[in-house]
Amino acid sequence: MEIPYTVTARPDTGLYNAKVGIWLFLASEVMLFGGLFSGYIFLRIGADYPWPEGVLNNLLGFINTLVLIASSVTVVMAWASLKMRQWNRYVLYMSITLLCAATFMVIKAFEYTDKLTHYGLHFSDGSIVEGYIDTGADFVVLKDVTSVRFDTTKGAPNYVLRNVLEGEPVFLNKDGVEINLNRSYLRTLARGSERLGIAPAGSVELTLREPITIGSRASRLMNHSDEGMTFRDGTVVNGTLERDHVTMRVDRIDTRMAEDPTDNMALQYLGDTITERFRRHAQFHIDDFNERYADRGFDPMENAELLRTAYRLKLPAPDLDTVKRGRLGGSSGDDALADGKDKYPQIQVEREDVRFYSNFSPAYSTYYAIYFTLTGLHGLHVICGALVLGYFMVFGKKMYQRNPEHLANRVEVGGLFWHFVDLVWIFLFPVLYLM
Amino acid sequence: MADSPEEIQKSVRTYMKVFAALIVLTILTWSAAIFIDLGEPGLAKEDVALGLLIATIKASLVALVFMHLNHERPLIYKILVFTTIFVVSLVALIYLADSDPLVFFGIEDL
Amino acid sequence: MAGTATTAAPDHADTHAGDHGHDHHEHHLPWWQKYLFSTDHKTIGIQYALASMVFLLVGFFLMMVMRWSIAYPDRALPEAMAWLVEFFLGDRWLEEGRVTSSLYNMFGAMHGTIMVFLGVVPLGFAAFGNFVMPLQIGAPDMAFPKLNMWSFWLFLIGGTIMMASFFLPTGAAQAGWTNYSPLATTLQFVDVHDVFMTGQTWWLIAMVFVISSSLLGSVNVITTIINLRARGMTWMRMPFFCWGMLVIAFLLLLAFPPLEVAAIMQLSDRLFGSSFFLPTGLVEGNQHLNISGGGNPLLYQHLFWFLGHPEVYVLLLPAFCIIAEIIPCYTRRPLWGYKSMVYAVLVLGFLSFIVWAHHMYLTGMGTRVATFFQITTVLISIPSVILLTCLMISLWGGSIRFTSAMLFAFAFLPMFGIGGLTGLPLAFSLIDLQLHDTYYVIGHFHYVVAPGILFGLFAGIYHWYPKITGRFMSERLGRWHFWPNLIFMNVLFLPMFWQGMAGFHRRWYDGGAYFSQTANKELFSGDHWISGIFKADGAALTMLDLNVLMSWGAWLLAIAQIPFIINIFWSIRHGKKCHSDNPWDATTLEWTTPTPPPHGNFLKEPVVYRSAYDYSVPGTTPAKDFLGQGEPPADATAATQPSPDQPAPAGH
Repeated sequence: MEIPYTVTARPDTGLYNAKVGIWLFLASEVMLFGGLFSGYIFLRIGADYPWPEGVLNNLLGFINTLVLIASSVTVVMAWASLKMRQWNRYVLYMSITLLCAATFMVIKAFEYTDKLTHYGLHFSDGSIVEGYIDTGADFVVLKDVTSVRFDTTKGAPNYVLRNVLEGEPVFLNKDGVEINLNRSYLRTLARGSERLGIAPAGSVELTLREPITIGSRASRLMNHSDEGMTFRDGTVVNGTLERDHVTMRVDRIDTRMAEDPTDNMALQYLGDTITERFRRHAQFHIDDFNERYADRGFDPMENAELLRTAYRLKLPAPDLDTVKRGRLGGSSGDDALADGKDKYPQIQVEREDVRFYSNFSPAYSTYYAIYFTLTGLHGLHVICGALVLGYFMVFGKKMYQRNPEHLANRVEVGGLFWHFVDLVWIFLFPVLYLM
Repeated sequence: MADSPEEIQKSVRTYMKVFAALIVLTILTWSAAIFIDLGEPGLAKEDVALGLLIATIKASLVALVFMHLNHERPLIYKILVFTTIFVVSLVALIYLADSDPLVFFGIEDL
Repeated sequence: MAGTATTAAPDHADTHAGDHGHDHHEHHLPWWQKYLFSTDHKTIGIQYALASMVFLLVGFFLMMVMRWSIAYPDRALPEAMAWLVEFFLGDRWLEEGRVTSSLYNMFGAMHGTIMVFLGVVPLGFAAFGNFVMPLQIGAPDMAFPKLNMWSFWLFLIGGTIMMASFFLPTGAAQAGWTNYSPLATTLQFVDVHDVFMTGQTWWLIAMVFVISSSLLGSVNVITTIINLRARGMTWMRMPFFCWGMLVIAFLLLLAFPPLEVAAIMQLSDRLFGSSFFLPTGLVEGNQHLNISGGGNPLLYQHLFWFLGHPEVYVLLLPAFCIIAEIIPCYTRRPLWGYKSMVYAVLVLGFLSFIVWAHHMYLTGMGTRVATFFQITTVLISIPSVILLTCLMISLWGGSIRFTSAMLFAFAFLPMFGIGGLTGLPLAFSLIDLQLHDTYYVIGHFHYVVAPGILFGLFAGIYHWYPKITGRFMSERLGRWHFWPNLIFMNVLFLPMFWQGMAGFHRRWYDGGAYFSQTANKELFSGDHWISGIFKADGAALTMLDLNVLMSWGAWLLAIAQIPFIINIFWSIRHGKKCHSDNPWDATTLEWTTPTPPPHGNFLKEPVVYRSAYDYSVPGTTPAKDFLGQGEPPADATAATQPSPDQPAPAGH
């Protein structure tokens, strides 16, 4: 049983099956990326914060654009070589295409890593600092923990129970009997036990023979009250909060969202020297703006570009320094940094001054969310396209010998997908990087 | 596709010319972003339009030449025309819905 | 025998220069490759049909539990139902045997999802489209058989994930089949250890699989219709069934991707903490969520309904397709207005892309945009009416054979008419202000889907069963299926219009008892004899009591499906044997194949000579009142015929 028009074109439509199929598929991909672009537009227009500009590395984006365009040329050359029955040329061009794909993904990996290791922290008054938070800097420490209460249906809160920093964690049930907190015990608790006097799927309270100290990621913490620390999933742990701050090496300050961009928490934490520099820098740019556009009547406070230039400052190198501990108010001394290895000033922010912080991942803002989604989905398409083209290169010899036109058609179809991937990037580069 | 080797050879020359054009246009994209600032300072509607125009030209070159759309069958064109209509409707109508909010006359703050 | 002619010719004939895609010889394959991982469109069609009918039953069961909660919110579930619920979900969801609001929400969300995405679309489009369409256009299979197999398995994986989500500790999704953010994002989100192992997350992941399956399936259907039509099968000779399938495939192809985008974005919100759809300052469960904010819930709604509206035409059109085949066949008259129907369905498909925001009239959109969508929505009723009217006029002057298929097709017309007409008021935002999210809407779309679309699909099953199995379904069981269905569907859905206009809210687990003022509105006073039937001690019959009547309609409707289920399985072995390849004397090409059709479908290459509905036309006799599409004209000479031994299909 043979399917007609797999290789030769049908006379009235002039197309072979796969050609129709791939254009249909590309039409659906246009709708897919179109949907994402409509999301981008919607989110950008409706953003209630200054939409980031210039936060991506334009040079890397530019190189990636050239790389993909080059790969578009080489893939069409690969198809042309097949049509002209030049097998070795075909393999050569395909290899270059795949090399370009790999280069693209490697550069993308660098870009992503750079973003995912970089943090932004929003103070409760709207000012923002950006920089580096070491792992472990996002940590709370609870001392003198003697009881833990949790909902058994959700399993044991291992993020608490297995993060014992000090002390011997020996759990006792309500009769003071030592228990082994393993999975089967928890299952028993969840199903309920008449003997233990626990209603099924209820919450259970375990006490500890001796106080322990536990640590946990602060993002799991909800609040602390008289009964102890409540975590977001409802687990309650008694104990006292020992360490609750975020340590950050700051490489940028952004005060556009604060009520007073020249006097806010970020500046207070960073100290007088930086604050002075910042104010001078901001004033300079405002004056410069007014001078340049005096006759056109633009209001600097309404111009997003000026606000970004004036109130978003990259923090420089070693000689500017400050260390601020504890609560706000008053300046600290302009203490030099201990070992000079860190070129960025370091601050320790009390958790109650923090409204929100995250690395530059989709969680940080809708800008990064749509950036990662758009480029991530595009990257997935690059990988899939490369896999398909790679398959045609590595395993194509047999089909070439049996029916070269069939292979040429398949490569044409794969190439069409590849060009589409390039097309999407041609729009992504200016929209995400340059606008 | 029943292109003869000679036709393919001619296409190859065209591919190279388009490749060169795309490189130039990409450099133009980046340069325009740095050096051209229309309308108000910073990113204005005109800057966005210029950037999207250059991107559309590049995309058209890829689509028409590399993807062989310049001599493709009418059926493919029909599919793409409708797709374009629908994706433009999606973007335009979402934008329109957002920019045309319900306003109650006589109530100042909602 | 022509059959041997195919195998006599060498496979890799160099004469063809390998023009065609090759396939295994079916009889060499092991059973699991032949039945489980088949690339034959007929097997895949049956796989879709069986899977989707199982899903339909699951969705039906969910609805029965929901109707208990609506009718008797204070009473414990009956033993059998309670046992089933506890067996699958554990005992956390029933409060002393009563349906909790969370359980109701879960069943409500999953009932909609399962019926729409796992039930009706796979049955209507994938099952019927796969089995019938290639046969009707004279093709040996779909254009991409392997892709077809992948489509089915992606669908089944998605469906399995959906079903499996019931077993998660959080239960399945609960935020409605529409899954709006922010609820859908923040539900099973804040207070769980692992956001990945939640019903809401698995719903989204399952949707990605189901959508991908649909996209690949659509590519296959469109390519097949465009490129694999038999010789002589011009566009305007194609059966309307195939036109409908073409439009459905385009709807799925172009409308599903934005929903896939929305699903990916919502997954990102849940798993990566982004705020695509979450506005700034969102508080949930007394907690300020630790999110960046800046997002917009309306973006989700736009992306969802961009698919959502074309989706309802994807649901509807298979029924129109099937009825358009059945009515001519059982009235022995051509389809009236075939050309108008073709243009109407094309216009319908186009317009369906630009009407979506009529589901969003209450989101605060301004008058300009609302006007635009009102206009397009009203416009789209025109092609719908054209289609329905042409089908109705097709009955005129017909000699009707009231088989089970025809009974269902007949009933479809007024039932879908009610559904469609009740949709018209909803097109106007002024009226929608009152009726949005009320039972009126539920009544409207259920009339379209249940006594509408499902009747069409039932008709199709009765009609094509003999071609698939070589036996007829029992006509007696067919009538036992039809009449109770017709009656109880109306008992269940008609009062919904009254309740909706009285203000009964959708998705309320107590059936509107909350809305006591209108719920207690008297329909019949205490001493009326009707009240006496339903109420004890002289109480008046109120709107709320309608719930009881409707729920009994639902449960009796469940029983009404039993004859059908029995019929399907019983008839395989014991149905009346079908001694003709064309038992219904139909004109279309699928009836010219052997029964059941072999791999490759046609023994001789089919050539088409006329339109698809030549019943009782000049040239027919009372003895044979139809002309098959593949029948050569009486005056044809041998020279114009393909040789009887010519293996099918050859390239041309």
